[in-house]
Amino acid sequence: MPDTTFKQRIRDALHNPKVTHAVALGAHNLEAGRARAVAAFPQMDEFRDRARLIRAHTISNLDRYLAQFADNVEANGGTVFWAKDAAEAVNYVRQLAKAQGVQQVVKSKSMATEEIELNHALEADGINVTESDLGEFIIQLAEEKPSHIIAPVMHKTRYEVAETFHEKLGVPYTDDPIALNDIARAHLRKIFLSADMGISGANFAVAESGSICLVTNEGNGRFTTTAPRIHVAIVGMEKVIPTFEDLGVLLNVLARSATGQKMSVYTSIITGARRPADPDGPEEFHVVLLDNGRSRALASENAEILYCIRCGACLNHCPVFQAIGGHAYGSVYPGPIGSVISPILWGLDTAGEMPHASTLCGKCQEVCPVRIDLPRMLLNLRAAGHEAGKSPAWLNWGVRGYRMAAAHPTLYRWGMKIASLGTRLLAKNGWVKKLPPPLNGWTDYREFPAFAQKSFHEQWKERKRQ
Amino acid sequence: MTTQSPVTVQLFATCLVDALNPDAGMAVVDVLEANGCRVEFPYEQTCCGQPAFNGGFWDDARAMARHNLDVLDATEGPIIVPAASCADMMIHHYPELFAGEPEYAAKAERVSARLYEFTQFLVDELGITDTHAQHSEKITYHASCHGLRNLHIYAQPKTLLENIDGAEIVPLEGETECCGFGGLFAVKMSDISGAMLEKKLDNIEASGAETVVATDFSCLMHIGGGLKKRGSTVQAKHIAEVLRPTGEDADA
Amino acid sequence: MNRDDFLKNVKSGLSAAYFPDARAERPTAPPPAAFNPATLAEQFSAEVAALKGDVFRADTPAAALAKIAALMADHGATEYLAWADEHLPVPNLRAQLAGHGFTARALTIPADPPARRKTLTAASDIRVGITGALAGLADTGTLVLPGGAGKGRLVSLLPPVHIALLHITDLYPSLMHFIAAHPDAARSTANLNFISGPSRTADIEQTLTLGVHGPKFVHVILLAA
Repeated sequence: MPDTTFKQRIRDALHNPKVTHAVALGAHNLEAGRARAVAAFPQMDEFRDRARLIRAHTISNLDRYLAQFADNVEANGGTVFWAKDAAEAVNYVRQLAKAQGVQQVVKSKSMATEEIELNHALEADGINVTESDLGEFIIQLAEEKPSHIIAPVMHKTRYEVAETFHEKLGVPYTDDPIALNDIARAHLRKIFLSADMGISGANFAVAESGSICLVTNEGNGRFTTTAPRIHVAIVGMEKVIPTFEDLGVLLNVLARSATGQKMSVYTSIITGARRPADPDGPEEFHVVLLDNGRSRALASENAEILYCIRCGACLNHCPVFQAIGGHAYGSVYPGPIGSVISPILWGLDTAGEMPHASTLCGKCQEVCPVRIDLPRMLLNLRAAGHEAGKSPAWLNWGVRGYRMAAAHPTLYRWGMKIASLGTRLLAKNGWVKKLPPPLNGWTDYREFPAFAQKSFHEQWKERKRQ
Repeated sequence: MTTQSPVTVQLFATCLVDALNPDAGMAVVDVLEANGCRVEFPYEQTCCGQPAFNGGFWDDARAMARHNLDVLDATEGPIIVPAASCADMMIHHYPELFAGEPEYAAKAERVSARLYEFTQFLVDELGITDTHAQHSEKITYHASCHGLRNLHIYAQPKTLLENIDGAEIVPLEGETECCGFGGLFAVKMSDISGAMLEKKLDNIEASGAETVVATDFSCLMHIGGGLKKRGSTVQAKHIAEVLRPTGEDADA
Repeated sequence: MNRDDFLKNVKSGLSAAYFPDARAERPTAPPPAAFNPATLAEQFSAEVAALKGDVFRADTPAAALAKIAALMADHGATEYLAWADEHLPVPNLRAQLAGHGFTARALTIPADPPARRKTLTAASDIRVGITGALAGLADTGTLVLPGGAGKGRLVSLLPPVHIALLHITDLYPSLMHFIAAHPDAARSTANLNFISGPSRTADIEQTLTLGVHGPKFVHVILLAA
């Protein structure tokens, strides 16, 4: 987590027109994509219902399906490592890389690897790590973190990408996306064909066959899991699903929700390393199953967050995300999904402000392919934060006072009368232009209406006397 | 004119209407009385507790809720609420808040079963689609989020607006996008709230409307306060104020 | 952490948790309806075209071969990678293409690293890859390509041009139809690929670019029954 404050990061984002413009553009395109895809697919709601049932059944039986998945990976000659936390996952990969003399790693996009900060650890061991997804490649060059779980450089304009390529790759400046793409293709092709180890995530893990499924568009996922000698997949333990048929249901809702595509260009199902007589493929297949705090979600009223299939629709449609972009949240998982999963994985001390960055408008739940009740869990986390003593002092006092009033009607009516007098004193023509702290945030952006001279209670009493 | 005997309804005014926009509450009474209702106002009512609940102060919210449940449970008949978010709070969250308290869980179930947002009650329960209001102005509608997504309120206010004599209902770009109020969010996350508001205000001004209405005064005090700050002539009104059957000319 | 402790951690949480809509049994649905593959060709072609690929209808294997030769010429290619002859629906492809002056290159990747790198790099300038397909999915314009002996993954990945030979009788209305007919398709190969059009990205300012890492051109030759 960064060491700036949330408020500062929000301010920085809102005052950076490049960010606000790029993010709004990106999010709206993805919103429009989903809308088109849903309009063209009359069975969307039926598949969403099925998808939710599959995820609910699986997560509520997670131990059984994880065991089945691992058994099948091993039956196919793969290796499973059970990582309780980020440190265990990272160390497994480091040790494997060391034992195998790995010098160059190529990565396809994996939020799980961002979560555990794997690249950093491998580079500290002197290993070259190259991200191959175009967006991730760009942010790696720019030494940033992704700002969206599906579209990592949503926050960047083409000019910024051009600058980064020119500066870091030494190529002549060009801001034509096609030319930039060709530069990346040539650079990364060399890496694909010479890397010792490919590291991927997984969109899903199919228990009945011990397979992982990668949903990509560029082809880098296929290269990463085919060309190098060793393939390691870092898989959040909640990715598991029971069968191939279940995978079909989830694939029907994933791309449509994420980008508006009916299917991503490459949906690859990997079942073990290359088999005897296969002309290509990796020699070794390793799966790192990652807990890293997910079991904390399991044992709570927020277990539903593990139904998530990481499509990013909630981010794309969230008016807060659209306003501030992903980086402002300060977590690799931003937006509505991030605001629930981040406090669970990293604690309320680190991420407790995130659940408050929402108006609870409910748009996220409306578009979620598995209909996750995100507002409910945001509220749960706000309550948990308050119980843990995280509410600011002024609010504690304010709510205490308000509670007393609302539970004692005479006090309530008198309080309203006093507030009416107070605001009318401060007001000019019925409006207060500046409220004192801690309420000054209101008048930074709006005027505040003076309370009515006669409350509804008072007017009602008068009406009844007539 | 109704030939049936009047339906007795209970008005839950909500704290914002009570304190800041009592005329909207009176407009609700006027509309209900003109449509076969006898309106009672349980005088000891206060605030439903939503701001405390949304802030995570659930014990405080429970204390406020208990009081209002006591007041409302001692009455009979439909409970009408001129704010969709307060209606949502009482319909959906009151039963959840008292899951561990059987006495108040039962009260919450009984009260929530009788509770309606104002436009929802008019259209879905009374079958009223025309309140015989007259306003020769351009009106646009902002769909408050809690009402839209949690109570499925959209067609009802739209239908009522379409039937205002002389009014031109103009479309609002992004009508279902959140205005950025969000309760305490408006102050705690004021910078984001302000950014979202800016977008909503730009859309309202671009619509050509003279008045923007909504079911929730929470959204409207935020939108209205923003319109005032930018010196706009657009008025923000509670939907009840333009549904009043007295044929008030908006230009007067 | 060892497997038992990991799973114990998981299991101990389950009883306390709230899982809305969780059913004890795995949810299932009735199988999809029967269909006639021949009626799917038009939809399949339209979907592939929408993805910026193209579909050529070949009434005979000879017509298919002629098309392949034409595509090779269009792309200025003299060499190609291909699945083994026995996995292609055009008989004796290699011999026939040799007659047109086109040479097949073999691509079997050695296990050990230096030889592996050398082989991969040497093959990276080949312009065309020719595969068969297990199936085509009409509603999404998708090709289903299994891996396995004689069916290299790199054939449809390394070259910028991918030519896929598909029988019209192997068309399915949708992914769910395919899975219902081939429930073991995934487990029976180390690598099952669903390919929908050329490689693409919109990462830079949402501008669509084709041929990022995978092929830029996908030509499907749809063979009559």
